[in-house]
Amino acid sequence: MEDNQFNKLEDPALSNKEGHMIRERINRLEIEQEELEIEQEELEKEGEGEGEGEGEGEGEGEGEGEGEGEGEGEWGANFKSELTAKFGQWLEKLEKQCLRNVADKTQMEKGSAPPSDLVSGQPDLFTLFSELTALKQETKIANRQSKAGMDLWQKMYQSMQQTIDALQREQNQRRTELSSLKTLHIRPLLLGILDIRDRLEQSIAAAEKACSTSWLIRLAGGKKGLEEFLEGQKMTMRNLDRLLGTWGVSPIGAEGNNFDPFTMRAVEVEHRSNAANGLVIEEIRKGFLLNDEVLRSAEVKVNKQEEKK
Amino acid sequence: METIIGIDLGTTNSEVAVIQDGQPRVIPDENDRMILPSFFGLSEDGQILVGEAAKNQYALYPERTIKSIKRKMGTDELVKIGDNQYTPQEVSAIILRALKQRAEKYLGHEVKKAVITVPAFFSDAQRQATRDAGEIAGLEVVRIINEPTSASLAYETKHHQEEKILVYDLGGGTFDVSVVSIHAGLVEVLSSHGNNHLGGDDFDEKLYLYIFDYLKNEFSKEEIEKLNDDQRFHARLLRAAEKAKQELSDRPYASIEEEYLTERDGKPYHLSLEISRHLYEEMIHPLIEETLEAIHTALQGANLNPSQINQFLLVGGATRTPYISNLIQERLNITPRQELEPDLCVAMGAAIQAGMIAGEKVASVLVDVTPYTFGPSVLGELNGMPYPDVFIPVIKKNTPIPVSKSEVFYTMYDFQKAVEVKVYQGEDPDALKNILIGSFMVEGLSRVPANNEIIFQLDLDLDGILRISATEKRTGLKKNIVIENAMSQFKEEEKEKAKDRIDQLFGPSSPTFSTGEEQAPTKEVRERIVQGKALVEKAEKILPVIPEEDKEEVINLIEGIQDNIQKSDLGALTMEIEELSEILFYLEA
Repeated sequence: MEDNQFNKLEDPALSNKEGHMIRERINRLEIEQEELEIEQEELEKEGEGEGEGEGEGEGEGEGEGEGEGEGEGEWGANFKSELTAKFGQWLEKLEKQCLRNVADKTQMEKGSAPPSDLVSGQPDLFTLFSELTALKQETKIANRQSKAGMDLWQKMYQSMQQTIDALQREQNQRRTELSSLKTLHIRPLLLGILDIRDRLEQSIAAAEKACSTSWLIRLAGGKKGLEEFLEGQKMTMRNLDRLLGTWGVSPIGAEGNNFDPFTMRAVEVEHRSNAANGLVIEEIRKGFLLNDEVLRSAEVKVNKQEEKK
Repeated sequence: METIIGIDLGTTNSEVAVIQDGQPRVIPDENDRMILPSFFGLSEDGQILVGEAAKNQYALYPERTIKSIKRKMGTDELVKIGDNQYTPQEVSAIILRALKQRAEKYLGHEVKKAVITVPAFFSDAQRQATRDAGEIAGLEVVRIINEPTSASLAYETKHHQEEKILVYDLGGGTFDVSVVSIHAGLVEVLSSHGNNHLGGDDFDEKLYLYIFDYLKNEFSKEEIEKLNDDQRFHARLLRAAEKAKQELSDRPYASIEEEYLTERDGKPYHLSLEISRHLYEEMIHPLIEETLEAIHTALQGANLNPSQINQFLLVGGATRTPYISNLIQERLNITPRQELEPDLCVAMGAAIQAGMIAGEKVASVLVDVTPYTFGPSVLGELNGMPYPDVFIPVIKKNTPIPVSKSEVFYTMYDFQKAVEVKVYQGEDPDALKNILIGSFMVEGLSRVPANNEIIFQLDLDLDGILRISATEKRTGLKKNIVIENAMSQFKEEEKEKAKDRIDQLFGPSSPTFSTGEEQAPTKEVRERIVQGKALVEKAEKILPVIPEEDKEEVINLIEGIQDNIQKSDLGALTMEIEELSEILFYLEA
C-alpha cells in the first residue's frame, strides 16, 4: 500500500525529469544539425569546386529530387542530395526514437545505422557516439539523482511516519494518564464509601444478633419491628452494592478460597488440622476490586497447618 | 540520551523516580501506588513476591517473607527463605529489580543505569553492598548518594553559594537528622544522627493507647480482656487512630466515631470520642523532644549553631504533623521547608541527580505553593506586651495548594455576643503591618462564659480563591466569606509597594514618575488604550492601499488616538476609536 503510493508519487517526477532531459537532448541535436548543415554547405562548396573542374553546372545539383531513384549508379553525382536526404530521415527517426524510448540504447544504435553509410562524415559520427555515451552517462546520473530523490522521499516519509507514531504514542499515553487520573480521583471517594459500607455491615451484624437472641422477648411482645429494621438495612446494603457495581467495584470474595497474596492481606492465622493449608477461614474486612485492579485488599484469617517435624 | 533512574531504597518503603520534561516524577504501579513496600517473599507455590504482595503474606508466612533487609546490608548474615539462603545484597537486588521493571513498564524501554540513595551514616561496606545489589539487579549504579543530599537536591538544584542544610527525616519507623554542606555541586555530609526505632508509627501507637485507655474506663476488666483478644477490634482502633492523626494535621479537633464497635450489656456499643490537637501534641511531645535533642547533637557534630543553618528540610511522612515544624520554629527560630511530598522527595532528588549525570535538563521541582502567609488577628502578646492585633499564621508561606487548615480561637469575656474576624496576608507578627484582605462579624454567639471555642478555617485553592469561615464549635453557628484571587491581589499590593520604594528612591517629585502615564490608569482606560493601539496598528498596515481621499482622515485619526493614549483621555479616545473603526470597516468592505 505504502509502496504503491510511493510509485505513484515518484513516477511523474521521474518522467518529468526524463522528459526534460530528452528535450535538452533534442535541442542539442538541433544545434548539431545546424552545425552539420554548415559543414554540408562547406562540402557543397568544395563539391562546386570539383564540379567546376569537371565542367558540370549547378543545375545538376538542383535536379536531385527526381534524380534520386535512378541516380544510384551515379553515386558521385547524387552524393550531396542523397546524403542530405538520408541525414534528414535519420534525424527524424532519431527524434521519434528519442521520444519513444530514451533508455533503449541498442535500438538507437541500430537506428543510427544510416549514418554509418556516411563514410565521409566520420568526424560527425564520432561526435554522435560521444554524445550518445554522454547521453548514456547522463541518463545514469539522472537515474542516480532520481534514486537519491526517492531515498529522500523515503526518509521524509519514514520520519513523518515516526512523528505520527510518536504522536500516537503520546496520545495513548495521555489517554491512559487521563483514565488513571480519573481512577486517582475516584479512588479516595470509593474507599470512603467502602468504609461506610463496613459500618453498615457491622450494624446489620449487630441487628441480626439482636434478632436471634430476642425471639423470647419478641414472644413477650417486646422489640417490635426489629426484624423489619434489619430487613430495611439489608436492602440499603443491596442498594449500595448495586451502586458500587455500576462504578466497577466488585467484591474479591476471599472466604473459602486459597490465600492470594495479590488481593488479600493475612491479618490472623489459625491452626486447624482439618482444613487445608492456606485456606481463608474468614474475611475479616471485605476486599474489593475496581475493574481488574485491587481497590482495597481483603483482610483475612488464614489457616496454617503446623509443620510436622 | 540514556535514561538513568533514581531509587530511594528504604527500610520499609522504596520508590523509583525519573526525570520527565525536566521534572522528577515518581513512578506509580498499576494501582497508582508510588510506594513499594521493601518486602520480599516466596508464595506457597514458590512464586517470587515483592512489595505489597509479600507484605500481605507476612503475618501468615513470616518464615518465607523478609522485611527491613536494609538493616542487614553490609553484613555477612544470610537470610533463609524456605530452603534457600540469600545474602542481604540479593534480597535488595530483588526489590531493585521490581523497581527497575516498574520504570521500564512506565517508560516503555529498557533501563540499565541507576542512582541509589543510602543513609548518610552508611559505612563503606554498606555502600558497597548497595552497589552490589544494584549490579545483581542488572543496574549499573552510576552513583550512590546520601539520602539527605538527595532531599537537598529535590529542594534546590542550583547552589551558588555555600549552604548548610539540615535534613530532618522522620519516616514510619526510622529517624535521621543530617547536616549537609553544599557548595558548587559538591556535597558533604557534616554530621548525622538518628534513632532507628522512632517514627510516625509511634504517633499512631500513642493515639491508639489513649483510645484504649478511654475504653478501659467504659468497660469492666473481664470485658476488656475479652476485647484484648479480638484482632478485629484492635485493627479498628488502630485504623481510627491513624485517621485521627491525619485529621489533626489540619484541624484543631478530630472526632473518632466507631459505631457498633463491640457490645456492652448485650447492647451495641458505639465509640464516640473527640481528641484535640492540643492533647495529641501532649502525647507525642516526648517523642518530638527526642528528635530535637538529635538536632542539637547533629549540629554539635558539625560544629554549627542553629543560626548558621540556611535551610531546614522536613522529609518523611511523619513530618506532616504540624507540631514538629511549630516546635522547630519555636526552639530554633528557623522556618522549616516542607512543600514537597515528604515521602517522595528523596526519590525525587535521586532522579534529579540521575538526570544531571545523564546530561538532562533538570529544573527546580515545581509545586504550587502559596507565596504568602494567611491568618487572622487576635488579642495576644507582642514583644511581651498585650496587643490587640497579633497575627496568627494559619496557612503558612510555601504551603502546597490546594490546602485547608483550621485553628481554634476563644472568646475573650463572658457572654460575648460577637467576634470580629479579620484576615491578613503577610509575614509580620503585627497584623497591622500586613495587608487586610477581608473581615466579617460572627454575631449571635451563645451566652456562655469566656473561652467559647470558635473554629477558624481557611481554604485556599489553585485558582487563588480563599474561603474564610468561622464557626462556633458548640452550636455550629457559621459565617463565611470568599476572597477571589487572594494571591494575585496580593501581588498587586506588592507591586504598589515596590513602586513606592522606587518612588522614594528617586524622590516623589521626580518628573519621570509624575507624568500622566504613571498615574495608574483605570481598568477602562487600560482597555481603551489596548483597543486603540490595536486599531492603529491595523490602520497603519492597510494605509498604503487606502484611497487618497480617505488617507488623510485615517492619518489624522491615528495621530489623534496616539495623542490621546499619551494623555489617557478616555472620552476623546473612545470617540476617535469609534470613528476610525468605522472608516476601516468601510475600507475593508
